[in-house]
Amino acid sequence: MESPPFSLEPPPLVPRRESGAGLPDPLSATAGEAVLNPDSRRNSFSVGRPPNSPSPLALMATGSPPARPQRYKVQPPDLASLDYIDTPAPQLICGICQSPYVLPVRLPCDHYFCKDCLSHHFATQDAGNKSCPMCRGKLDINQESLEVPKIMQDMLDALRVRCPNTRFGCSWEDERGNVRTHVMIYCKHSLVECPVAGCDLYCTQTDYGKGCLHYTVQCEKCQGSIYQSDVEILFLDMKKHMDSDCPNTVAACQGNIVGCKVAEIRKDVVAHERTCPMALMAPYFREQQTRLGLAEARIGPLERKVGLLERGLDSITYKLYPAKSRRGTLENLYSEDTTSVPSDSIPEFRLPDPSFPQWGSNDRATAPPPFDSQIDHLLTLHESLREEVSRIKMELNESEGRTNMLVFNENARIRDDMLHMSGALNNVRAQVHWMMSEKLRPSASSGGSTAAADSNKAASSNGNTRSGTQGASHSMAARTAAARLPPRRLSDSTRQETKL
Amino acid sequence: MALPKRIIKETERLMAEPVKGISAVPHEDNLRYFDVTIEGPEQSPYEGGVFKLELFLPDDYPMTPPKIRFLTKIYHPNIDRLGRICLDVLKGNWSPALQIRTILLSIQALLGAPNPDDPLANDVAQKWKEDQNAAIETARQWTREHAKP
Ligand SMILES: [Zn+2]
Ligand SMILES: [Zn+2]
Ligand SMILES: [Zn+2]
Ligand SMILES: [Zn+2]
Ligand SMILES: [Zn+2]
Ligand SMILES: [Zn+2]
Repeated sequence: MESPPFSLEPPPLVPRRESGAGLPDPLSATAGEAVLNPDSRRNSFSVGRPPNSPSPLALMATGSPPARPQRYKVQPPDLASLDYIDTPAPQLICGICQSPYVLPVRLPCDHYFCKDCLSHHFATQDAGNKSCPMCRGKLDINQESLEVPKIMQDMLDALRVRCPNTRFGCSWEDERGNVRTHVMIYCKHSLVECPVAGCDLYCTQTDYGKGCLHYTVQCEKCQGSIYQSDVEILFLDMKKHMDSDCPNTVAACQGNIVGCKVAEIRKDVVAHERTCPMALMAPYFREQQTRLGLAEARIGPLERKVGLLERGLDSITYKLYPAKSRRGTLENLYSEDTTSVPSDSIPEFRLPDPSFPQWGSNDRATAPPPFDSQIDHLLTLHESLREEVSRIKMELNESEGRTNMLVFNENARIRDDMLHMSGALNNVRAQVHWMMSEKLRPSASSGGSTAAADSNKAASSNGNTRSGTQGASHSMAARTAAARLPPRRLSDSTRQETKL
Repeated sequence: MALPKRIIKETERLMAEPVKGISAVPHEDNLRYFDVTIEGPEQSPYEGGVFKLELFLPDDYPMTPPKIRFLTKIYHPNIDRLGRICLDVLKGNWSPALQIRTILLSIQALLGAPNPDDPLANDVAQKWKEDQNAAIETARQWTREHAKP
């Protein structure tokens, strides 16, 4: 444990929270000279060391448990100092504290005030001479306070407020009626009672284990260089003092973000900063840096967006290539395999318009997009993409129609051809039929048996040593005979059909 | 010491909705201390003058009245040579429901209607009672001399 650079000698016991140490009252008629003393701001936060409390170092060294039980005691929220999100209705505003009522009290003259505000007011008035702050009507202090309409309490509870620990990092916002529950039970940023018995102050939950920090210490570094009263600061504020106030702590010149190497004790640095050009420029540079940071943070999502658009474009292109190849020539129409289409027959797909900027990483450096801002650029990009897509869609429709026409025409031609052919075929068949029937008529009576004998003879002679041509002609004759048979023998034809 | 919410609210309102002829600006290093200027009301001996005042809110404000005095010399039966003001609402008649704004308006009204029967500056009140026209002329002259805008 490194010892902090300030003395831990407990300062002499001073009364806790010395209240507005006897401000001079120059305007009272009794005062001889009227001199307003506005300098009451050094109404220091100096708080004496709590009686009988070990120093934090002693606490840490001995590991002695804090005098309070480990359970946090949370400081209840001060409803009077809440931060309201909306401007409350003027009817709900207390005339004394100018904030919405807290525990409103109704006076017989029908004026309302916060309970605390009114008792503060009464404390300044003589007994038996109490009056309403609004109408100055005389009041009987013994009179019971009148009932406040429930609707008023409901409206007050419904006012939306921020958590009183907002400055410690809580982002809770809700109706005022819930703020106590939130602070006492749920809020992680609530102040807790100092763990040391005898100290009535509060600390953050993170400081709870460090023992009591509520006593004044002296900064060793600036001791002697300024007045003693200024050097005594609350232990809790020591870091802040070192970081921003202490004239003897080493600090860097404001210009260090632009390269000034000066780092001396703060007194000298302040003098240096008056002449250092880099320190003069520092605020400007800091602003630029934050703007740069903001811009960089915005580029990320935009790049992702562009990537998405590019991928979408790629997939569109991919889908379009095969479709495009189908257009046009007839051989393409018949070939199912699109890859066999010669590549030069694919019309080159012009992806971007001529004005369309390329988004390759190299192009970006050489040719910056001719747009004011990235968003504008993206919008135009998007627009041109949309146009491209709609143009492609139209072309697709058109080519589909053309293809349909082509197919239809081709079909019609083929059908014509087929009709032609079948007509010719019928013609030929009729002629063959006629010739056959002419030839068969003379041997109509004995034809059947002769044909059968012929075919038998041909079948048996197939195995013999005859020449191939003769065999072929014979079998041919047999086949024609067999083909000739069915029309004449009804029983045979039926048998043949069942065989088929 | 933390500034009470009421003082912050009053200051914000004074800045956001200034009263005509009155300005009150808090010191940067002490928000309880205000530089005030009040223009002399029309039809009064103080017309055309701009009067500087200082205003200080004590620790127990608004339970006790603000402390306020003229810095500009002024010839007025209810304002003494040190600038202290005799105004009931600044003393016993103070009420916590009053505000900086209302107090400054009362002071402006006091300039328009001097009350020599409740004097603070006895010599001025005496002259005022004896020869009102001469007193008013003196007030005009003082205004011209000391309360230059
Ligand atoms: Zn109140
Ligand atoms: Zn009343
Ligand atoms: Zn919270
Ligand atoms: Zn403590
Ligand atoms: Zn220091
Ligand atoms: Zn420098």
